[in-house]
Amino acid sequence: MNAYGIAFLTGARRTLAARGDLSTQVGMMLLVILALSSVWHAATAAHGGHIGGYSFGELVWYITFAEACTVPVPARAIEDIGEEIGSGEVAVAMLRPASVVGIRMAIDGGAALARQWCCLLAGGAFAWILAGPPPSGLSAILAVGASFLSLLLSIALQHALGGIAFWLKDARSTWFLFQKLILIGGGVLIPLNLLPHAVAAFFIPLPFAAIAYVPGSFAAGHGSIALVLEQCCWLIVGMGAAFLVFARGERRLEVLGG
Amino acid sequence: MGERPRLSQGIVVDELGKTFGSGRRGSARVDAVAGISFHIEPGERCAFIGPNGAGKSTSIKMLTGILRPTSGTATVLGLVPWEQRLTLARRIGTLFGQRSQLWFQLTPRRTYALLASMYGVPGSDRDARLASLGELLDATHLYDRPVRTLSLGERMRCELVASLLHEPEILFLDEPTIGLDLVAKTRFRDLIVRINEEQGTTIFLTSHDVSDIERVANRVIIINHGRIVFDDSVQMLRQSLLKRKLIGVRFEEAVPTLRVSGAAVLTHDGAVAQLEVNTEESPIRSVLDALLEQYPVADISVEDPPLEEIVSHMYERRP
Repeated sequence: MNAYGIAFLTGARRTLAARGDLSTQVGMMLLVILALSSVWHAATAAHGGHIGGYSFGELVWYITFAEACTVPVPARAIEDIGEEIGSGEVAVAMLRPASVVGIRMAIDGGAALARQWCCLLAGGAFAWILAGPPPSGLSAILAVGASFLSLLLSIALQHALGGIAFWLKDARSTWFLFQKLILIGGGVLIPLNLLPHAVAAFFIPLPFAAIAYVPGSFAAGHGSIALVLEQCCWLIVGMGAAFLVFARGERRLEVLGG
Repeated sequence: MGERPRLSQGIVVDELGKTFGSGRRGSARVDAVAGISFHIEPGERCAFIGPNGAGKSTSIKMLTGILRPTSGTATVLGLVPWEQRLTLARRIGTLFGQRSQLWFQLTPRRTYALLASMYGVPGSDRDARLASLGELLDATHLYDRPVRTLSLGERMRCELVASLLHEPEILFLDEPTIGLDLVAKTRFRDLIVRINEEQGTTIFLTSHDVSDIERVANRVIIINHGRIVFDDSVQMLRQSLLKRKLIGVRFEEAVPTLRVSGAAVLTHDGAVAQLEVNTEESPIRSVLDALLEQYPVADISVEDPPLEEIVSHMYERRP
């Protein structure tokens, strides 16, 4: 296995070893699913069992996958990346014969994937109890695939944004903006196509939708080939941006002193 | 005598300079390294020292490919570091006393597995090297403990294993003994020398601790204000700079007053005294003759001033 594969496994092992953190994250996610399910239960009941074409069960499965795509990637990862660059810590990684961003993304990817599987297993079981089986077996399988791509996209975007610290020496404010954009523009709380048409038309083509809305839509049985293509395109853009930012940034790194 | 190794396989630095900041729009312009030149041949143990802000770490970062110079050239093992960083990284080892290369959440063994895969060290070779390095550094029992639970001394030994895992040809050490206690420092220095002698690894060391230089290096380059102010052996640093000798003397009985031509009395307490001689003004032999003639000497010693004092004097010099 090459260095990136071992880095990926190392990240996964690290997550699974920290059982306390993992349990807390999964527990919090279940609480959020329970709270949002209660809201959607009331909303769908008030509208004759469906709202905007979604049944209560579909909405529960939507929320479960949207949450399982956002909870596993630490919100402050951008700040950590920026801190490593701003403090010069990245210099140590540059002394290794491997891509700095590649190894970093592999470790983060392994850690996030381990968390995501735990979230999907626990969240899936919880959603099943709350709302019955997923609307479609095939959609559920596609949703799992979309969730993996979503994770990669999220990590790539975080590295691209964190890499700004090569120029600005600081990426602290970016993580907050990124998190809120995923929460609102990604459709974590509400499927984007339930928003007013103009708002939905604005957010759906953006990468934040590819992180939460796309896997959620597949889980709810509302996925489409166009959404998969959108997600793949953003993944290519995100990965390209991350590698480009680090390649350019490493060439202009300025670390003064020891 | 065998053929000398080719110079290009060591470190060759020619007018290397680094300026931080553009100086435009009010940004500060700092000339961290101002055109330094030196050659280090394979197998040398070279201390690269200077006061804070002298340009030591910046130079090391350029030689390892992290920073791009603003002027001059350098090759390390025949490679231009900032152009061929990844290729060079496979052939050099680095240890920064203030920055860890181990992942704190992992055990050293897991980190070594990851590092070995990056350096392309096969599993069987990795295990054999870990075993021999563990024995050499007395670190085998630390391999399976999480890094965050290791003491600083233990962690530094594990860091050194990480630096040597891929059998580097050159080892760059930046303040490697910082924070270590005296016993750990002594042990660490002995290990570096042993690695150099047994494996022929070139050592390039920066440190503020003069004992590191005395115990490890056989050559010293002193940098100050971004320029080299001394480049010679440790012995020459003692001999050629500060033509000053210290004479320690013990008399057979207490001497009430002590006055020796050509020497200044530094301390005098009855039967024990220390004198200082400027050998450019008074030959040491004439001072010793005068001392032996005038006083009942029981024991006498002539010493160089401490290296720390010499280095401090060098730091005060402008290039």
